[in-house]
Amino acid sequence: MSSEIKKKKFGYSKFEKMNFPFIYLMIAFPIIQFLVFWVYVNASSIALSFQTAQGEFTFRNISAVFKAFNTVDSYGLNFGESLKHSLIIWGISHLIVFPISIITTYILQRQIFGHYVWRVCYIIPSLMGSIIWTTLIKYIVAYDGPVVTLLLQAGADLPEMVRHSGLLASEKTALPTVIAVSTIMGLVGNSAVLTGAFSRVPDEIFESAKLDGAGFWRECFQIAIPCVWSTLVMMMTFSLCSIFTSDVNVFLYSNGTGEPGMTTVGFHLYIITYRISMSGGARTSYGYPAALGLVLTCMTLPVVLIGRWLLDKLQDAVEL
Amino acid sequence: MAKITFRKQTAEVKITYVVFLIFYIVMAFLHIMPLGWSLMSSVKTGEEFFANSFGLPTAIHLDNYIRVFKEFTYRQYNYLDMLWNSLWMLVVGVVVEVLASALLAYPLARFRFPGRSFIYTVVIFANTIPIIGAGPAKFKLMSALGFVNNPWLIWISWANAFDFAFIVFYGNFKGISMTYSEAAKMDGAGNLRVLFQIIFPQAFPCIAAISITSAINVWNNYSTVMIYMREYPNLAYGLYLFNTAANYVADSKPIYFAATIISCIPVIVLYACNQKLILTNVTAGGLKG
Repeated sequence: MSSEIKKKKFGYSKFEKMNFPFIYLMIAFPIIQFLVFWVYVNASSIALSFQTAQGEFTFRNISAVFKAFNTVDSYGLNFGESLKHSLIIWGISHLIVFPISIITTYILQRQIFGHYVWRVCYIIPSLMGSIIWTTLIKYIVAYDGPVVTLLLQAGADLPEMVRHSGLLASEKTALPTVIAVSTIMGLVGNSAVLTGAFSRVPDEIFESAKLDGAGFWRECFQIAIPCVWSTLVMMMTFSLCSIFTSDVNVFLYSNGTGEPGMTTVGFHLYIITYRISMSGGARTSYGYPAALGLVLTCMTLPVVLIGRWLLDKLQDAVEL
Repeated sequence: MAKITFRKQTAEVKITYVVFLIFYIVMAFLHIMPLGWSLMSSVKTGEEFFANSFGLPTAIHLDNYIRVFKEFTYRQYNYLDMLWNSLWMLVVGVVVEVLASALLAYPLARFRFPGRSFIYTVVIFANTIPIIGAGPAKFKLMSALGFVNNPWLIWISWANAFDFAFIVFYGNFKGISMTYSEAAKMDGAGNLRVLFQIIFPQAFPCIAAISITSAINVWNNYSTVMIYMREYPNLAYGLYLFNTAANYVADSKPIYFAATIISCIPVIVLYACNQKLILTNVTAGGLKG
């Protein structure tokens, strides 16, 4: 008999104890990997925040981060601007696009005409990969591309820079263009997790609701969405964690420069790591980027904890 | 889920149906248009592309696809080298990620042992508490360990079990009935045999779905390759490098587009063939009721 069969309330049975070597052997590698690449890396990052390049204790890195809120940092990037852009992008994608995508996922899952074909079409950008996708978008929003041509034909007053070099060349239009692309692409919900959750809602619930006279939208908002609420809570929790890490492919749209005016926190952090890697890591002070990460973590943590608390409260309300 | 039909519906539902159908058609066009344009550009000449990048080709130049294998190069690497790098990274990346997550999820989901609750809490903590900006510290560690540009060791850093795949596997393994494994154990099967001959076959749809999703991500991954495996460019990174260089060489653009088509065909086919498997098996979070 195994631990799967015989369970004791307190302590462990003889049969359970017999499985311990097998269990610990199985989990040994994943746990060691986690200890090295997550625990050690994060602890080291915190320690580096308070170290000079020579390894001496300092608060200089932390104060450099606070200074970078208003000025350009040692990497030539404006942290305050990146932060503002990230919050705008997160707000649009999670407070506007995400709720709409729940509805569009639900209707796709109700097998609207051609649903299989639409799904394949919507996933194509993800399958093509961001490298190919951003290259194609760059041509589409170029000065001689269809978007600028249509805007000019519609009489739009475009900046001179846009007329000569396209929507990604002007500070006024570059970030809005990138946000518009990600917004349009995000509207059609094609999340595998959410689709999977909707697919598990039994047909009988809808049939009995229909017999009770529930309309289409009532089925959506009062049956389907409450049924998958725990999945939605999980997705929203993950999205809170990504508040400063999603960067809508700014690196690729801007050829690694973040210009003009497109930097986000995700880009900011990636480009610093990239430049450190390009320099081989030698003679580079890791202090400032580590301090940047620490400050961001301290900023995000209360947001995530409060967000999770609110989501839990909402979940309780839904379950009542 | 119950199917929505047009017939025998109220006017309100019919209007909703038509509005959303039009919306889905427009969105489908917007999503596939870049791929269609890429396909069209891949059969043009360089001169044609630069004269009018959105015009129709005067003749179909399929030879661009052959030229990809000769002229798509970055330093000493050609297209086949990058394809090879993409393939081994895909196989190794998917195997280690899926195996690590599954090996951790299985005991946690189906056995009682000291530390079980603690490990589960840590996994949830690691997934839901954001710790940002550890990239430079990770690069420092990877450099010190000799993992950077080292195909023999890099896989160790990819074997992250404390991720979303764990959450999916954990839920799936927990949902598999104990009956079969109990019967197998009574017949004398060991834990490994139960795992590989009872649990894994029952969890196959879920494992396959996670593997395919992971494969698509690995295939298109350029950001970590750019930092940790720059000497072994995969197709995604190679396309980035080639495109940057091709901006200055007129004749290279159609080759670039032909290369993009060749490189995205495998993932599109993989997904299209397994869409249902992915969409019904990548589930996380419970269902109310």
